[in-house]
Amino acid sequence: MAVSVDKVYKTVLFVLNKEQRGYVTPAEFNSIAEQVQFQIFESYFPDGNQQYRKDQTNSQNDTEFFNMFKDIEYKLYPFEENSNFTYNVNKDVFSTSANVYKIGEVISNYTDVNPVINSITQLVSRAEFNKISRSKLTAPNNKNPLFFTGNAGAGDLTLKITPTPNSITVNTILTPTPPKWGFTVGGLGQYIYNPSPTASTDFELDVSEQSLLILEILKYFGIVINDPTIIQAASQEAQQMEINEKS
Amino acid sequence: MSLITETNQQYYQGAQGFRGDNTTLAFKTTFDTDLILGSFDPNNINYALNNFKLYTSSTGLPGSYSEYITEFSVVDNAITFLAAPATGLYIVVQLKKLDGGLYGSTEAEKAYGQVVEDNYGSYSYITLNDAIDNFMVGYVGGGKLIQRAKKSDILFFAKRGLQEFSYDTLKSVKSAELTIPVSLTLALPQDYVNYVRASWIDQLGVKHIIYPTNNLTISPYYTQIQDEKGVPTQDNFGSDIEGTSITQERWHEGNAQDFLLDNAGLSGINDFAFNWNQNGEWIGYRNYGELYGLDPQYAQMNGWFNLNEREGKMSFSSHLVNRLIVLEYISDGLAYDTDTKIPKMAEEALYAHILHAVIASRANQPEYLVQRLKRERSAKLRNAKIRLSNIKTDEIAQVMRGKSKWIKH
Repeated sequence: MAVSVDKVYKTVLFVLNKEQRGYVTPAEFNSIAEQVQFQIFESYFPDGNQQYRKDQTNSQNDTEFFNMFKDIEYKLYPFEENSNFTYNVNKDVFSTSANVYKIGEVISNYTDVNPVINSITQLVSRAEFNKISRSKLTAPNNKNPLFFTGNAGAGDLTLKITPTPNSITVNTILTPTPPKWGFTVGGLGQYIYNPSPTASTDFELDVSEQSLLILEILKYFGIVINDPTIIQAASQEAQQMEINEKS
Repeated sequence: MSLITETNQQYYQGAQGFRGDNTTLAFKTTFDTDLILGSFDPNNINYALNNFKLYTSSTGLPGSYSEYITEFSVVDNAITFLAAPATGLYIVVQLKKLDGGLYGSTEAEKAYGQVVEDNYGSYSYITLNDAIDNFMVGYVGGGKLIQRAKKSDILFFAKRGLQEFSYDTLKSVKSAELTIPVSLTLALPQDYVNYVRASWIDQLGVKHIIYPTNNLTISPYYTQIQDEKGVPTQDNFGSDIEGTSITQERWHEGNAQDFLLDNAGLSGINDFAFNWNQNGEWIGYRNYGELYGLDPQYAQMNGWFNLNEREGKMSFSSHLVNRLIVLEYISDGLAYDTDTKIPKMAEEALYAHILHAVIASRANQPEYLVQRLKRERSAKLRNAKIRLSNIKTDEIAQVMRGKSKWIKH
């Protein structure tokens, strides 16, 4: 479940106004909120890597809810999606218009053979591709296809798969959509929250990130309004949460 | 889930039946064998590529089935008709079989072939792809010895393992039945790596082992034409001019004169008479064994073969001309898709081989781990060899009963 942008904004305003430290405009909030959401989102990957190493030392627990690696993996669910990649005949690559942040497993579907073959496709660099495809033992075929990434010219991700499949299924992590606190202006000039999907966008992060979101936003606003106590308090809280999660 | 997914009918008869319902267009077959459709039309040249025939019957009674030759397609092993078969129509997919199967009202409609027989006994094997998938599941991942591995690496080590196993562990199942031509040479089979043995087959089907010539003769690799000074001569392009091998020519001719007086109607007994005297002395090739007695390596009369590495051929002694021989040989298990399979009795040995190969080829792996895996590999390979040697105690006992036989001198 996503985090309500309205709830976060109002909590931030509440904390900041409580001691009359200042006021945050929706435009400022939206800008900082986007930054913080992306920051938390990006932290999943090094954190996940760190937690995965516990598997190697056999020190990870296997409980239903307290396995931190599974927890981080779970938090990525809002961004995980099978993106649609289409084949570009001229460039002999698959490309997508989706806002892809990372690509995961690529399944190549060969439907013009009997039986239909759906193969896990291995990501390699171009240099590796050149080596692997020169060995007769490892040369790619429709049961062991290879691919490397490139771009279509405008920065769009492309996948060059050998041998070329009829279609592909790509598990991707999409870039988070920026949150937006949309509003209308009231009779007194006040901002009134507009929950319409065209006006407002909730945070895509999981609801378990709400506290961290608020604390991180407060940290930024402490800097904006030049209040070290806000920065310090928020930083300490966020740090404590991080220590709890990672230790 | 059990590993056997075919019904008894599918396995033994190679047949699977369906009933039409006037709605369903596609009928999915579940054979272990994938369907191959060249063409539905018997007049199309690709029709011969089909590995199955499709029959229909309105009653389902024996003899009532006729071949379905109206357009249909095969998609992901499903037979897909253009129009839904009528309700109650009996539909049978029959894989090609040596006896043609149970369906088809005429001989031409029978499904003659060897597809069903190719699948017999397949349960004792696992495909290389399945072995690699199993390995990736069982041995690669978080908390395991191999945290991460590229599939191409696993593929490489698995195929190398299969090659190595093929040379000295797996059963040698490849053999070719051939007739020795007048040229006395045969091209090596396409997937040949090394021979196991060559034998000629007599009229009763009994095989008689033919031995390599060893030091008797040789097929020279280079046969340059020399000038009067003994220097090889070259053609316009600067390459040595080569002729036919005189050694081989003499060997073939010599054999014909000395070992064999009559090619026609040979039997082992006749050969015996021509090459051995009553005292057990070799008389066919007098230079050998005359002074110092019999040389056991040449003490046989079945014939000789040697490898002509230059031409990629096997060369045989002349008294084997027109004879039927069986060449047993080993390949590397990778020549054809149907070869890339591992006996289940060697499956664990292959996993141990891959595991050791991956860890041993990685940097910064503790040596005790590499050694442990090496020993595991060695032990499992030894087990596989013993299993595949097919040693049965009662068979050994039967052989050993011969030990009490008196050997007369």
